[in-house]
Amino acid sequence: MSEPTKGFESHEAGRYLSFTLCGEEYAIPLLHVKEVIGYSEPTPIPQAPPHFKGVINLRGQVISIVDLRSKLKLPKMEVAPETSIVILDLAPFCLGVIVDSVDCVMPLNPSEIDTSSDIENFVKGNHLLGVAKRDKKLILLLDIKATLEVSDVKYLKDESAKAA
Amino acid sequence: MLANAEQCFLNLEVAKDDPSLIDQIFRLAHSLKGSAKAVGFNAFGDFTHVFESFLLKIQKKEIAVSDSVISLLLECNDFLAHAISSLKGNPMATLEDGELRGRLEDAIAGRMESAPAQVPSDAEFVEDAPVVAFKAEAPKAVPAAGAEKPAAAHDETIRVNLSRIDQLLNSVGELVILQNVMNENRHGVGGALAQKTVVEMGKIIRELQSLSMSLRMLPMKGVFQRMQRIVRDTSKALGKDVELEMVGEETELDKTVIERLSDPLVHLMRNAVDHGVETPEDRLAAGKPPQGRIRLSAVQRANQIVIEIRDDGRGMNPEKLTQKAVEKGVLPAGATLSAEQAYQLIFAPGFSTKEAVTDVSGRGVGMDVVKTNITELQGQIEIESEQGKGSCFRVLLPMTLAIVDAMVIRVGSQKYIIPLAQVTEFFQPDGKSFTSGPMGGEVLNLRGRVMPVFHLGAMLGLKPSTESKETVLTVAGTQGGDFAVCVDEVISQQQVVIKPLGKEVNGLPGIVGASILGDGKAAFILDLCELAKRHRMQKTTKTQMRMLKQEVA
Repeated sequence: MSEPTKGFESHEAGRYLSFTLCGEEYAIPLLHVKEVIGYSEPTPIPQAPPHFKGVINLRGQVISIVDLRSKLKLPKMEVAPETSIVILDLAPFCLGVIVDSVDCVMPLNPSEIDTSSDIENFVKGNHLLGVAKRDKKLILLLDIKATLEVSDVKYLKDESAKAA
Repeated sequence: MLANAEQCFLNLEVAKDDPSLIDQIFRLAHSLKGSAKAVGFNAFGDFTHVFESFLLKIQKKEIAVSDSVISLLLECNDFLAHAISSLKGNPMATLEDGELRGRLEDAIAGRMESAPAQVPSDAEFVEDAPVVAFKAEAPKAVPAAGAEKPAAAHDETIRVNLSRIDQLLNSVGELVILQNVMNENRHGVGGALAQKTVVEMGKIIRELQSLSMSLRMLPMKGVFQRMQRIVRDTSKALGKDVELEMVGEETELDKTVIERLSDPLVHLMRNAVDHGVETPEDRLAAGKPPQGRIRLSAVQRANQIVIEIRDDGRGMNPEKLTQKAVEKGVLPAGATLSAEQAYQLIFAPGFSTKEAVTDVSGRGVGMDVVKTNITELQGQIEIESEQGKGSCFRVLLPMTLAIVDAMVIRVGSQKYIIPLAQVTEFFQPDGKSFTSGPMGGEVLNLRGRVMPVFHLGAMLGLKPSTESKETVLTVAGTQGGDFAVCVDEVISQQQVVIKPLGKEVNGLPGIVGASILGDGKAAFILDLCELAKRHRMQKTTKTQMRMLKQEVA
């Protein structure tokens, strides 16, 4: 957890992209977001784990798509008109994640983010960086790198190692 | 610049007293000296000065151009290349030019004969000196070189970052896809003018595509020049007399292919000089002219580049190769091989017919490297040989790694791409073609050839397809023979642009890349051999575990 955590430590307001999954509001650091596109059906990858939805063509680039709902073990949902793909730039990876809808870009002050010990276990267990409160709503700050990078890459590697 | 100079030296060896060549070298050395002094590399400048005086003597014909003179010149050339690269890394680097400089000075004083021809010991060094790479870097190292012009080729060029070209290719590729989509739907929109425009635009886009593809292509000249040097040094080191003939150095290849081709070619050339061509005495005894000949040629055939290294040496003895392989434990005793199979033995790691390891060869590494590199480039290597007459190594390479001829097929609702190179034929079978095997597997009888049948859907771990009228593709398998693969439909045969997959999905077995189809969707490029291998293994583990255990025991 390198960059996002650093963002908290420096006392500047970071900008976050918020989106909805299963009625809950999540946010990720805007720095990791390359662009947001409408949903297009990905080409499935044979023998890939279920949350790995497949690949899409993004203006000539082939980009892997992860279903964030199934990655976070949330119930499945049919594709709706608001369903979007957020293209993330997590060097060296460039991945897209499927979210229910993209809401807005918001600045969050470190003071607004609760990382206190009461919720520490909750935060750690759920790939979260913290919880922000705004207008009586809770926004879950997702550690997108931890959510995607480690486990998925490892999973696919294991799969191919098993096969070989 | 130095690469040019090297070429001149080598030419000089052939045309011993062509004054225009010496003039050219002289000019090169002079401008190098000027540039070095201008940027303050005094030691370097001093050395080039001595070098220049030596050249001047040659120019004035006070020193005859002999082999040893040329060796000395080449050594100086290497030294200069080395010096510049070390200066680039560390501008304060001191040059240890004492020994070479002393010999140069000796030579100028007319004591040429005392100068030892030290080429053999330098043979290793040549590999390290980035002679070819240097050509591209020289202008950076000598920024003040205004006098470079006379040496440079006359066609005007600009240097462009490769990533920009790739971006351009990407965009053009996108344009082609969009054009396809538009073309498919053109009857639905607009009037006659709009439709005509779509067609016209298509032509221009295709032209644009082939043009942008050609941007990545480079002539093989650089690699060929390096080979000339390799042959010269290797043959001198081995006391052989070899003439290298080069044909088709203007043939163009993708830049990345050229870069990765250099190493295998070096090994092939050294192999030809060392193993192929005999010593002058042996040649005379065999009734051949004492000078051996190696012919390096490159030619484009359809979508392939064919590079041939043909020597007129002793050729290869298949029986001897087989015998050697048995001795080394590569083959079980009593194995018999066809000539072609025996020739392929030389690519086995650790295989060498040489008794002793020398500077040049004998470790049995070289040909293994050749095979690996060529395979990585999706190329093939063929060997022809006739005892006493010589051998020919033929390297077949795709023109570019970015495009592949492929077949688009459908399994279930998904489209997949199979490179055409993997497919030998495809047809629609009737019910009689298949026979069920005892293990539930199917066997296909194709004109007397029997091969196992796999279903692509099952190979990919998809649900079994319900469609009955399947098209069968037959595939030439590498290990374990041919096999047939069932797909639901063959959609088209087309060229596809290979797109790299992200790191997160890299290394998925059986998938070699992805591409974007005419409908704008991404599709995977499959490696059927790999998939079949995996599939077989899975089957084996499931149903034949016990049999396997017995076999092992």
